Amino acid sequence: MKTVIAFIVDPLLLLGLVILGIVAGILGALLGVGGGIIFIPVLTIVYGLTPVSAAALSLVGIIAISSWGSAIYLNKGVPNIRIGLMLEIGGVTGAIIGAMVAVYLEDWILMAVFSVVMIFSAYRMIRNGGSENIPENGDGEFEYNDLKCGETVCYDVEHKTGGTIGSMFAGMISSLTGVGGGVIKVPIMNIYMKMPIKAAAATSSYSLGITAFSGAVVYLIHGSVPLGMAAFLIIGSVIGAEAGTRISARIDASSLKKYFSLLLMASAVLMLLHAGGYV
Amino acid sequence: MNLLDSIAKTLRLCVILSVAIAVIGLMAGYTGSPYGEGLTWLAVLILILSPFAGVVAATISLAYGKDRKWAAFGVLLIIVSLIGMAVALIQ
Repeated sequence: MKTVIAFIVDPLLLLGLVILGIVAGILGALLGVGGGIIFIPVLTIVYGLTPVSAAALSLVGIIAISSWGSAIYLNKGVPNIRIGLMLEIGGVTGAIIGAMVAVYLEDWILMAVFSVVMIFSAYRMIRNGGSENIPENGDGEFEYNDLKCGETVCYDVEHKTGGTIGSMFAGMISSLTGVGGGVIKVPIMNIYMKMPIKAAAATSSYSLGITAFSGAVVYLIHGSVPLGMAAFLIIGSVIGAEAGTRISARIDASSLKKYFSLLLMASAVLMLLHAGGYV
Repeated sequence: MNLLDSIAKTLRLCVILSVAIAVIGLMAGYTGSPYGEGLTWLAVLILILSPFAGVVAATISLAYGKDRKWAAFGVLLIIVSLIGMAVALIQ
């Protein structure tokens, strides 16, 4: 244990891990993204971890955010568990395919495609405000509680099979590039499957933990998870996820779409820079 | 058996257990106890297993409610997740 924990003795670095977890947790629980887009750069650049250790630690943080955030959202009736289970069959299958074909594909092509998809999704969300299938007679197949309005909203979900295939694409891209699938899954659910943005974000937050599970177990068994750092990151991530769910209850859906669009744009720019070898 | 409640309780229990064991593990590690590393490893393992435990809880809850179609999706997801883990271990 001493070799694992003793290498971080600087209280500022320990505090930094907790703060990192809090920031990623707020973003993850609020927008339905994993937090990997924050974890990976900070852990590699600031903490000097190897890509493998950073990825392992990032998955642990993503699971902490997903599990705690989902537990709160589930108590309030926000995520769609049935759709989440269905989409994850595609997501996990895509992650497996991605891991198997990774050596045969050029990273920069995938990243460029990924960036274009995200820019298009952000444009659709800003221009059309996403889209939701909410029957006027209130007789939808599914329902969720809008915590801001305090109302139960009934809605229908379209293109379930197509959404599962899209989720497979998200899992594949996630596995190949190391970026969490949330930035793809939320637009798929909101724009293509017509789920309300808050239900989509909460469902994505729930499903990301399931995608991360397999990889994280393997990293832990292989001893790639820096245990001392993981403990502090878990604590911060749980605090952040708690805060993110509270913020979500105070903002309306249109604001959430705008924030998500900004995140998509930022992710796309980062990905393009990475594909071009600039970062 | 309430679907959302059963998953929420499973996830919450796993995270609380994980954080509690992690704190004890860290304290043990800093005081030089030989159990610190094992406890922290256990804490991370419990956390990592929490989403899978959530899927199992969801599947049981759906099956209990005779929601066969969605319970079948849950079973399929459990199988795919285990295959994913096996593939990752082999690689």
